[in-house]
Parts: sequence; C-alpha cells; structure tokens
Amino acid sequence: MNDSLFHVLLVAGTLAAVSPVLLVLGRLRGAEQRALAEASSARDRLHDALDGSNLAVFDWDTSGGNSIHLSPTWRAMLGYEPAETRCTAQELFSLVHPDDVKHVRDAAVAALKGITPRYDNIHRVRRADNTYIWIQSRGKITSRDSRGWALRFAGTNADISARVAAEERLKEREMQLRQLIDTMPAAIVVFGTDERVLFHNRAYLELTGLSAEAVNGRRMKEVSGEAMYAKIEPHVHAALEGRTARFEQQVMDPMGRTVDLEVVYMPLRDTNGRVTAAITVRFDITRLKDLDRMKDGFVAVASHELRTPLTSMRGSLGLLQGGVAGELSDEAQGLVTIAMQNCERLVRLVNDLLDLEKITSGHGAFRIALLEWPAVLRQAIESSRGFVESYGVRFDLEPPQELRVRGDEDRLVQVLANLLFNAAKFSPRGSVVTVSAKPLADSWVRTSVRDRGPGIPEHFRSRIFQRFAQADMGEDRRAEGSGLGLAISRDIVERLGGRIGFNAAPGGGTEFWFDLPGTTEKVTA
Amino acid sequence: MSTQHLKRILLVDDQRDIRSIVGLALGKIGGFQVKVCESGEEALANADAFAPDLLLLDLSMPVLDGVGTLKALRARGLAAPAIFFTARLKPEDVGRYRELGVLGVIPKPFDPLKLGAQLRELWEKRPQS
Repeated sequence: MNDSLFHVLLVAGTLAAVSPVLLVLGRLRGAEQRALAEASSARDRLHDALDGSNLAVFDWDTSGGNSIHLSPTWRAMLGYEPAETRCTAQELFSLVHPDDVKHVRDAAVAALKGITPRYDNIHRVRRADNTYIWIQSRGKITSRDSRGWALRFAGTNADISARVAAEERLKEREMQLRQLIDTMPAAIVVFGTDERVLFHNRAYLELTGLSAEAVNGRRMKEVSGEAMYAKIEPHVHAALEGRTARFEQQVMDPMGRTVDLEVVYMPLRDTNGRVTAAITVRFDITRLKDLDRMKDGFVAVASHELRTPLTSMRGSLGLLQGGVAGELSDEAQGLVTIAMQNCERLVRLVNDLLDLEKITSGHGAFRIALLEWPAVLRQAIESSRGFVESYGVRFDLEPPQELRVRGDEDRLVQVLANLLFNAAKFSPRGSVVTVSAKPLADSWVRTSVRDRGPGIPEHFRSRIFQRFAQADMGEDRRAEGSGLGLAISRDIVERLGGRIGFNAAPGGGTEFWFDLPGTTEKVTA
Repeated sequence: MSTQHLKRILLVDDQRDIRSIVGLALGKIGGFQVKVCESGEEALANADAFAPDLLLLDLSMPVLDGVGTLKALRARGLAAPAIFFTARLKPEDVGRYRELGVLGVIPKPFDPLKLGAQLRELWEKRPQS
C-alpha cells in the first residue's frame, strides 16, 4: 500500500471511529424510516470503505458487559475467514505480544480514565499461524455517564506490518550508511542554510576533538571557533550560494600534530535544484604531502650529491687534459676525452632529470611575461653557438617579424636549445639549420627549427617525445644526449598552454615546431 | 683599487677534492695566488693576513656556510668582492645573493681550464668604489 492511500484510509477510518454520530445511528430505534434509510446507506458506505481499507473497527461497550465487537476485517487481519467478532477484553489481550501487553493496557486505562484524550498505540498481535503482525490501534471514549465513567470505547485497528518492516529496513539502511560514513577516512559535516550542523561523521569528531554534543545543531561559527571561522566563512557562504570550493589547509589535530587537509565545500540541492544545505569534506593528505616533501628533499640531495663527485671528476679530467700533470700521450689524451665526455653526459642527465621533475611536479614556478620573440630567438641561437660550431652547421634566423609570445623566457630558451641541439646533431656538416617564427590565427605564434638531416625513422615517430627515447643513430651520437630533451620541451610547451610537434620538411630534413599563445599588443615593460 | 689586477684569491670549500682541483686550476693554470681554506672559520683566521682581491666561497658548508662566512668576513671589515660556488643553484636564490653584493654564482661542475677566465671576467665588472 502506498503512503498516500494509507493516509486517506487512516483518516477515513479514524473519522468513522471517532464520529459518535455514526455509531449512535446504528442504535437508533423507532426513528423515521427516511432517517433510518439514510443512516443505513451511510453505514453501508462506511462498511464498504472499511472493508476496502483493511481497517478493523472495534467497539467496546464498557458500561456493563465486558464485550468488544470487531468488524470482519479484524479476523481477516489475523488470518481467519472474515467474520464479525465478539470477544472479551481478556480474550483480545491474550493475542497481544507478551512484551507489548503492559503498554497496551496502560494506554487503554489512561484513555478509559480520561487521562489521555485519545488512545493511540502501536503493538504486535498474534495471528492464526502464531506469527505476529504490527497494528496501530486508535480510538477514543465516545460516551461517558454523568460520573464520567466510560460507556463506550471505539476505534480502529490497522495492520501496519508493512510500514514497520519498511521503517526497519530504512533504519537498517540508515545504520549501514551511518557506519559506512563513519568508517570513511574523510571528515564530513553538513550544515543548513542557517549554518547549523545537520550531520557529521566520526572522522569529523576525531579531527576536531569535539564531542557530538558540541557539534550537533550548533552554528558553524560556534563549532569551528572565531579564528577558524574567519578563514572558512567565504567558503561556507560560497557553498550555500551554490558554488564549490576546493583548497588545501594545514591544521593542528587534538594531539597537536600538524595535519594537511584537502578541503571541499559543496552545495547540497533538493530535487528542484535549490540549495538546502552544504557539505564539507576534509581528506587527510598528510601522507601524500609527506611523500611530496620527501621527494623534494630527495631531489635537493640528489642534485647536490650527484653533482659533487661529478664536479671532482670533471675538474680532474679537465686539469689532466690541460696538461697540469704534464703533456699527455695521444692515447692518454683520447682516453681522458672519453672520460670527460661521459662525465659531461652524466651532468646533463642529472640536470635534465631534475628539470623534468621540477616541471612535471609543478614546482619551479614559471615566470610568465610577454616576450619580444625575435630577441629571444637570437639569444637562443647565440648561446647555442658553442656546440653548433663543433657540428659544423650554421644557424639561419629567417628575418623575424615583430612577434610577441607569452611565456617564461628561461624555459623557452631551454626548449629552443633542445631543438637547436637536436637539429645540429642530426644535420650533415656544412648544412644550414633554419629558425623561423610566424603568426598563426588568434595571435598564436609558430616557431620552427628546420634541419637538413636524414629525417626521423618511421618507427620512432610515435615515441619521439617520450622520456629516454632515442632514435637508433649509432653509439656516437646517442652518447651525446640524455634522451630527455624533447620530453622536457614538450612538458614546458604544454605547461605554457601550447603544443609541440614535427613534420617532414619538403625537400628533406625535419621541421620541429611549437605553437604558443602570443599577442598583437605592444609589450609594455 | 680600480686599476689593480686580480691576483689573490681566497677559496673556501669544505671538500678536499674541490680544493685541490680549484687550487691547481687557479694556481698552476690561472697563475693566481690562491689561499685555500676548508671552512669559514679558517677563512676568518686567515683573511686579514692574506688580504685577498677576491673571495670564492662554496655555498653549502657545515657550521658556517658561504653566506655566513661572507657576512662574518664583511663584519670584520673585509671588502674584497665575492663569488659563490655551488652545486645546488636555485633560481629563486639568485636575487638574495645579489642583495649580498656578490659578483656572481659559478655552478658546479665547472671547467677548470676556464675557471680563471670566468672569475676575472666577473671581477672586472665589480662596482668600482
């Protein structure tokens, strides 16, 4: 039975039960036929309604005989053939569940004595098959004598087993949910539009060290304290206005430990989308943060600890090569050169790894500025001149237009250096590497570095931006790079909101390019 | 002082290897007079007598680090310009070093054959008093 129907029937039943007029009608004798007919049809209608409603009417003549009359539905409710029942109060009470007898009796006595205006009781009664059903029994004293003694006690019994079972299931579900929410490793608190706490979980109490009494129903300001409330107030209001806020916070737990939290404030809406409350979830991210701090520490130590011995090796080899320990034989000179080149490769690898870590972890903040791009290109080419010479290639900067690019100068010079280094490395001696920049739509700028090399092998194209990806170019050339240059370049360009790629250049060679947002505005330094 | 050439360099580094490499690079190859100290304390004890034209200080040292050594030397009235030496250069620290009036920071690893020229170049750009 659905809830609304149930309510209608209850109201109908209760109306019938508490309407003495209807009951008195049945006892009218010698009344006019017309009135009798009307009454009779009213009673029929009532009985029909009651039959369809599963409500059993009881009518207890308390004046003399100890006799209770119950409508046919009562027997049906207990699992018998429906029939009128006439029984004593004792017989009726014998059906009540032993645990419920006392409070049924107390409630009935209170109604009979007029202590309570109505009788309304929920209890269990035994059915024919010895199982129990829950009934809601409602009624009132419909007439009293001049001394106030009850004469009639009438009302209805309704089988509410289904409702009780549903309520129990609901309670059980609620308990499971409650346990689930309590075992969640996140502190949760829900507050209404009046900023009073509607709900919280155990983790919230553990985090704050507050008792449930100090939280339930209290205002957020009271719960969090003046100082903390001043900090969270904008988020409380934002959530109640329908916005979500997410931030990190460091607090002291009741044991005095510093706890890193990720905090989320979110609105809760009803089915119409109206904000009715807000939820705050605090995740303990201390361990993640600790790991992060450990990693930072590791990076700092690694950078120092790896570079220190490399400094000594590089220095000693340099001095040997410089003839500090006397002129070297050709063989010795060759061996020292190998050792030194590998030493330098290790240094580059360490530097690149640290760079990559800094960029991907989001550390190493970018200093974004509007850059006069031709000047940056010239600077990058200038600082690459040293190694370019050793490869016997020439850089050609195509007369660049007035272009401005939004980005971090040092990082972009690093990207350019990587592209120039690769271009020089893979170009035939005596060839030209062309650097150019041109405007794209929406004031983006494409910067290209084009070599005259052999091109990128088909099988390598998809991996070229991966870390430690190196095309099989023979030992000599592989040894020169760390295999991280393009991975770093891609990370930098992407963190600046741009894109990077390459094409086979018409007429041979490869063109590497990256596009970055620029602007047509003048740079105002 | 402005017409003077860079001759006397006081090196402070806690690592023996670096001290010998830099000592050779600046002394035997660079032709400078080099006083090598293994700690800030030792530098403080020798600075006055040596009267350096330039201080070359390792940044990370136990007890008294590069910055601490420089401040202590300045407190004792030593005005010679300084250059830091480090294997852990953080871009965000450069501004702070500049505020201390250092001429520059040389990252490790360095090329021992070019170190002398690097120092001289930085030294020539020192503010003239």
